Amino acid sequence: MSIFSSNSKKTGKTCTVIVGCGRLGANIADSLSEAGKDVVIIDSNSDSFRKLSPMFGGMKITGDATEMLVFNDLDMKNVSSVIAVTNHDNTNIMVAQIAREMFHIDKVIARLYDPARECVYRELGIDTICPVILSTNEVDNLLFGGTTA
Amino acid sequence: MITLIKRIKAGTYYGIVIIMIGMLMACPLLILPFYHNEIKYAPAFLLPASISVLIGSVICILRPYHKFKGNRWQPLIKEGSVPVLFVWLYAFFAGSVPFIMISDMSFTLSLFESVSGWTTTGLTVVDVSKLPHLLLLHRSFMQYCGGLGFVIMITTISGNPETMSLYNAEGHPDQLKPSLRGTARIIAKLYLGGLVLGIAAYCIAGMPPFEAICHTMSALSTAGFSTNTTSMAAYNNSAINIITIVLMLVGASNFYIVFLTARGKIGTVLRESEVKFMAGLTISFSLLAACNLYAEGKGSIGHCLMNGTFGVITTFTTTGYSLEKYAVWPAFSLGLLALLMIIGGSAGSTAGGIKLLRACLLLRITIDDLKQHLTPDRSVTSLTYRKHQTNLYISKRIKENTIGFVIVYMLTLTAGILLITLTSDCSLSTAAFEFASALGTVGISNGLTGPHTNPATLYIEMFGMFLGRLEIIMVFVGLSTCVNQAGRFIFGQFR
Repeated sequence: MSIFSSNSKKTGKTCTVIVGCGRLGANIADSLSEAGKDVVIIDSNSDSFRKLSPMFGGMKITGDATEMLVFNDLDMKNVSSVIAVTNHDNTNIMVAQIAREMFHIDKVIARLYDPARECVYRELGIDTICPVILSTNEVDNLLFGGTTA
Repeated sequence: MITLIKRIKAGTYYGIVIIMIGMLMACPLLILPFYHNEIKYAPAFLLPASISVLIGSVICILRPYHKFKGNRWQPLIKEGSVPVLFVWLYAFFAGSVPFIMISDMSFTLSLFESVSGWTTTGLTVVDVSKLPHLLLLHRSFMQYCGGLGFVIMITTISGNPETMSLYNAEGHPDQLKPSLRGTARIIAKLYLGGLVLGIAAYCIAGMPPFEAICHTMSALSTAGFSTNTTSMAAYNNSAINIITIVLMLVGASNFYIVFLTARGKIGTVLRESEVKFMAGLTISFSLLAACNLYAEGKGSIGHCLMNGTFGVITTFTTTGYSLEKYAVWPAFSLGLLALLMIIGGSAGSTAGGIKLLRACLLLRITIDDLKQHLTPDRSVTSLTYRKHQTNLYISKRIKENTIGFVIVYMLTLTAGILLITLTSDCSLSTAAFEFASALGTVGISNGLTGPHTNPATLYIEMFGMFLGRLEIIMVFVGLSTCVNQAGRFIFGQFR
């Protein structure tokens, strides 16, 4: 019906889907929600949503994001970005792949623990954040930042 | 001017909502072009409206909104409960002003009418045949707004993320869209859409437009103020009855369910536990009531079926329209109605009562408990219910919440009934029916509530309606927070 899509027509794609409500996922969701953005957060365990701030105004969905069923409820046409931040690299890859291949989401970001897996993502065109590499760089910076720079 | 508006938009919720209430108070004046001779009553609306806008603006300017600092992890409901309580109380007083100024009603009666309106109850102490159109519209419009809730209205305009605590405190558990503002807008759109469709349907069925507007507002908010003294019986028209039934059902359904239905996902809707329970309850109770009416010789089968169904639906949706005086109904049917009043509509709708989902869960838990006596000790059962398209396990926490709420509800009900028997000279069953009606925000009266009722009884009923609309626990949390804060304010840092 037209009245339901009027919102998306006006502002284009606005919604961010975050998969995995861990510390990182919850923090991202909170800050987006506080900025007034549309946020959907998915986690397989409903207890994880406790990490969200009480002011979180987005949608919480309990379910396994590697199953297509979870996305049925969502208006995926309205989703601009998907962020996969579960604690499993393989799940993150899978979710990112679903988002890219099945729903053609423009911006897909995944967190991965194992830097060796980065090549998989690069082939798929998925942006990655790797805490190990980030931390390594930062430690390097702290150790030698003054001298090498 | 623009900076002033910005300043006001950045004000506290207290200020913004008071401004909004002021604007809502002025809305009934929109019908003045059609009823010129009632222009003399306009000041009665303009005065409270302008005073509210003024007070709200002053509050906004003096106390700009500041980000909540303090302990973020205290329960949500506690933070939101005080503003919500305050806003509703303010609305009650503002809504009573036109009654005082136009008709020569006492303060208590005016306040009662206003509380009954905003809480979508529909108990009335005025003679509607003598009221001007403006006041009739004011009554229905209060119910319409009260049904939606102030927080939803304010959220559609100002999308501050911290409105979330208020949103929960006012008793809206659902999220239909990825942002709170989106959710509020969808709900408001559905509600407005229902209003337009309802008015059109009533007009087609032959109701005069003014009455169509009033009745749609009341039916959709499951409130039940009518513009006729005999309620819906005045029309004696089955088409109108059926439209009313549909509107009441829409009003009493969770907004989530209405949203899915509007999107055409009927199959998904029918699998929700709440909908199944609602359907089962409606059909079985309607048949029981109809059979009972027929057996007591209250008319033909068709007549009894219509009256029974209408009575059952109007009660469990907590609307309170009537096709005939319920006082003439047999005791068995009245008992059915009383039971339905206590159960009420679905959570997150405009209805009151224990709420269908809790009743459904309670039934499941009880049956499971009984079954445990019949099965071997080591057998394992897993109870689930279906909500928001997912099967959820009935955990210990949910069980405790459900049973706790039901017990609090029952205790409140008992206390209220006993207080009414004290203040008014009536039988226990009359008091029980009347207070159940007030607490469930139903509004069916068996004659106890009227212009000559003892003021004390009226105040007890008002408190009941207030508890019923805002979910009892929320009111208690809000009151205890108020007392706490007042204590801290008075005794300062000494503690």
